[in-house]
Amino acid sequence: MFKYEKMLEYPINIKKKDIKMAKNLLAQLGGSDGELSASLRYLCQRFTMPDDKGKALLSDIGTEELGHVEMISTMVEQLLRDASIEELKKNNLAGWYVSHKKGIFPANQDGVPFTTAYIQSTGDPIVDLQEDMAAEEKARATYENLMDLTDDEDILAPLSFLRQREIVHFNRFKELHDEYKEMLKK
Amino acid sequence: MYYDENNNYFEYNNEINKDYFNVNNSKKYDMYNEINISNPTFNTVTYRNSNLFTPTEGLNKGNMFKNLYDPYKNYIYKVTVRGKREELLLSIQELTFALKDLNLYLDLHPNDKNALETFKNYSEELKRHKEIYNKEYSSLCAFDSNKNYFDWVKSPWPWDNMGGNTYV
Repeated sequence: MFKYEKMLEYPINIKKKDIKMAKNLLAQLGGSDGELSASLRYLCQRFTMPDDKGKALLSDIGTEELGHVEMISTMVEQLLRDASIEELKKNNLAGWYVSHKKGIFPANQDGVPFTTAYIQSTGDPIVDLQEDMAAEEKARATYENLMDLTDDEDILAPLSFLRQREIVHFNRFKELHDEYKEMLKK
Repeated sequence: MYYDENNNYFEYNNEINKDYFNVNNSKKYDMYNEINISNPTFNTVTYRNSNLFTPTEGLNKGNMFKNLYDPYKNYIYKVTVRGKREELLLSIQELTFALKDLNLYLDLHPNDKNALETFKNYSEELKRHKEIYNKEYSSLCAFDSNKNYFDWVKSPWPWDNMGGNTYV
């Protein structure tokens, strides 16, 4: 089961609205390489990991990613909070307003709704872990692109934190992947 | 002001009582100074020549493991906490983060006694901090709500930053 803790993994306090960045950040909420995608991917794949290490690692990273979904959602909400309808229209978010007002919804930066077609769960631990490693790298690159697009420290700090988590996760997945490769050779 | 080796810095309100955590003579978790948690035998195989960041630095960087740390550009970030509540919550976030990152490591290295020892120490510290937070302010988990009213629903939600005035 899951237990909710009423705090973010990393503190977020955005003071300035930025509709463009809110829109850009949707890439990491409902995008193909986003946090929701990561979380669902690992929490599905964990059931067919061959040993306790794999089941533990995918459960724990999948859970952390849920916390990252919450972080990105928080950032989008805070960036959009004070936006006027005029400003939403100017930033091509009139379509968003029609369906969601200023609500949080898992879609990407172009408004394409989240789909589980972004993820895979093959039942083969090597294949799954290679997908996971690729996913972490894609998310890391996305965070770097997002960091290039803003100079607001209130946004940069959590983005930098989230980017670094991708690096840690990649290394853990790789470690497990290499161990399974050895194990399955025998 | 606290700087780390990459010029990331934290700012603390000067009015904060630094002895706040010295309750019941419990061991103090010193978030103002570097805690040397490195151990020469820690991470014997994979992390032989490295050690861990402190929980404060770890949360700042998003990484507890010095050998895995890989920053992007040279940005400087700060977390400004205002008042005891935010300071205490930040320390809970720091310890939670340290435990989470050690947790992932221990998943793959469950027999690393030094890592486990560090994990257990932080776990104890976190428990103490959460007890104080629950007593002074509110529970972070609904199940821990133990006041004569259900404080869980009354405490702020993580995204409600009061128009940019507070970390919650």
